[in-house]
Amino acid sequence: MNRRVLLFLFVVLLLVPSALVRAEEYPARPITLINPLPPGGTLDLQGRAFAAVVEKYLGKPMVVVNKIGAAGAVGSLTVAQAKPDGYTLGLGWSAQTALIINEIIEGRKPSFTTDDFIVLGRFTDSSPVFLVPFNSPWKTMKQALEDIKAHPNTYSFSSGGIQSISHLPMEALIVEMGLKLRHVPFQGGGPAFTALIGGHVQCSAQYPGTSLPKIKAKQLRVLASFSESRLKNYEEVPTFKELGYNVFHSSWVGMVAPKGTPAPIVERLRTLVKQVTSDPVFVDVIEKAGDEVDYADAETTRKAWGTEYERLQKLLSRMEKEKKQ
Amino acid sequence: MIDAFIGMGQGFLIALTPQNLYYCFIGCLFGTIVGVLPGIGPLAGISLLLPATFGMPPVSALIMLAGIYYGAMYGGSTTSILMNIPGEAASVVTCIDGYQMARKGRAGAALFISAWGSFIGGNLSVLGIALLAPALADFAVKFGPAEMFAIMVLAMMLVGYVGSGSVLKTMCMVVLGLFLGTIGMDTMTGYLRMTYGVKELADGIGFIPVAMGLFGIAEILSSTQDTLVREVLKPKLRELLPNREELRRSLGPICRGSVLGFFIGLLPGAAHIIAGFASYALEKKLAVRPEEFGSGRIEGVAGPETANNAATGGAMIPFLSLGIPSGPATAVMMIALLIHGIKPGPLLIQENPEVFWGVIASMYIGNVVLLILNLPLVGLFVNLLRIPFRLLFPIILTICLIGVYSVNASPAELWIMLISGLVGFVLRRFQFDVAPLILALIIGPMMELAFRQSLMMSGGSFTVFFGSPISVTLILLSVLLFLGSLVRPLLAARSKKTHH
Repeated sequence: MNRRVLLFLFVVLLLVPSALVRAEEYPARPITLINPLPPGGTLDLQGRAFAAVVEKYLGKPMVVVNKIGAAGAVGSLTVAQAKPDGYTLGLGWSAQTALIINEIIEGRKPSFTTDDFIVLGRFTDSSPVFLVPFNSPWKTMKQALEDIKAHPNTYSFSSGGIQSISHLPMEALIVEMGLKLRHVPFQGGGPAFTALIGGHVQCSAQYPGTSLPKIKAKQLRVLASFSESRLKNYEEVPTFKELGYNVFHSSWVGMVAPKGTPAPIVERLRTLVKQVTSDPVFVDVIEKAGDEVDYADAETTRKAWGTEYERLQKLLSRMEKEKKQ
Repeated sequence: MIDAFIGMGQGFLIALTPQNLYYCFIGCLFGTIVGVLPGIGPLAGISLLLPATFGMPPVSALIMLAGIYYGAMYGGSTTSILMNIPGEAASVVTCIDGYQMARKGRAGAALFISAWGSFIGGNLSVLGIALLAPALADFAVKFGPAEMFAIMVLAMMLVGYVGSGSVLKTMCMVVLGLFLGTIGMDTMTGYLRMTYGVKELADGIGFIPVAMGLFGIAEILSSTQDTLVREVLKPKLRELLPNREELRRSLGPICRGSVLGFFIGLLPGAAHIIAGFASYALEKKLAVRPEEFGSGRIEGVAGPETANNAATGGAMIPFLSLGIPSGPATAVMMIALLIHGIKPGPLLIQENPEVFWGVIASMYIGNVVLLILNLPLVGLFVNLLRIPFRLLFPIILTICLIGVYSVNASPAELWIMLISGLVGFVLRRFQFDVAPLILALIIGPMMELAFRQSLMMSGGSFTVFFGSPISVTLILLSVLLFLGSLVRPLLAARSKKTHH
């Protein structure tokens, strides 16, 4: 054998070890968590808080990437189309469902559906509260509703965007009570809050976490909550149901993986969600933000997602009908 | 007032610990790098370093992240001046005259004045925050959609001042910018406008790819028209520094820019960018020979650079005093606070005064750190210009591509940038000034949204725009500006006639 052949064999031998590194232990590198909504919101907070704790349990870090666009559709689509190898995960949330339903109502084929995702688990399930500026003449929810009914199309509410988690609850109220209230959408919760505090709109449905500091600072007052039962931190606030109105809304945040992700990886991730949501650091962040951790396993979440799908479908169809009138 | 001084004192004690000084430095350094690299803005930098702050005490974390935020403001001007590429959204205005100064060999002076202007603007705004934070927070809340619309109208009036060249051409650019601004999802109805089914356009045509294309790429393309060998000046130290005349002429713009920038920074939204443009327009209006703007006037660099750093300070106020983020970068900083167990909000100053004042004091220190960082770098950066252009262009092109891609990882934005570059090149050949286009692209959508929100609130009645003293004042100002610009040429023509 001459030198050339030896050299060739040597090079081939060098390549062998890399061929043997096929079977990697998951995870072998950092995982990307896609947040389809803009930075700074509830999803972002929960996603980043989650990611902060992951390395303790998984050995590899999780990095949150905002992939915004079209009220969350772009990021959701990215997750749906991502390679199902467990290295790209996404955040799921209730308004995402609304995006899908809306496409169907408009007569288009939705670019992604709930079937494109494998549910990993739920972090929180929060209900918003009905807020008014501190100096508002409305002292009780009953008073507010009577006033709104007596003066149709006079008052307005702010939201963080069309069909956002702050828009849908108000629509649920409007549709159920037959109110004529004007909707002023803003780009995100921040501007929606500012408009409310400044008295430019008369009410808004926002979430307990972001609302609490402003209530404590006497900038806003809360008249009712959209939950099934009274909220922690809001024990004196009646729910709509208590007051006799059949109004309910909740908004969940959880984690999903693209369809086709291998079962062992899915199991590992489902366990991870359970571990992280009981981690004191994560819980502390969520609670300091005024929210409550409400872990639910994949099956429960998937079922709840289905129920929510139906509820939102009814709501959005009614909204569409009202629009056409 | 006394409370403010006590608070500041407490803040300095916290900010001056070796640990926090170190974090401040890291933040500023990282921020400068992030700002210099075109496309990547402070948001990306803050998001990247956020996980690193988890083990740190809350004050330190916020000091570091805030350092990134205003470090980026400093760094953004560097590429604007040297390569006509806006390193950061707010630095677009600096490209206009800053780059021309560089072409005349005054790059050093431009960078130097820009650093100093940023320093002074930043410091004055910190002082403003410390003294006025609570009052200003109330002020910020009074800005509803009607007031925002009034401001946008005023801003649009300024667009005319930013453009050089014929009125007709400026108008063409403005209309084109307004049109491009309509593309995307409409906030009020959720409908997709002019996207033709292209999903990536659902969020509209991003301002960053367009700006980088119209300025940077177009510049590269235009330069290929010149001979590829450009005279490379070896800068002497004297040339690195501004001469006395330039220093003198910068003083006014810097003062005005600070005040203007600070107040504009209080407004939510793209305040920094508007601050820069507003300052530019103001300086042009006040200048003796406004036609020279656009060909390298130091005022066109001093004013805007000061204004956008002052705006950074202003932008921190809604965040620190109200807990309402004024943009994505401050929103992520808010999350950082939450993750550290601090509740941002109106009670922050009471519940966690050490965080509130510590951050404010660190902003002052950050300004000093950044000045020290940036001044020696001036020489280094100017030497970059000595790289032969045939090598520099591909490097710039690569940096632009990476920069734009790093923001949203969207291939569509790369295409937008390249197409804008071609369009910008053509526009340049025909002597259209692209700055009004960018301004219209930013202001148009904001103006439209505010307009429709206002009308929605009032049920279609236009009286909503005259409902508050703020909006009335602003609208009156706009009308006056408009009338003034009509009357001036009329008066000038008349005086010419009487002279004959």
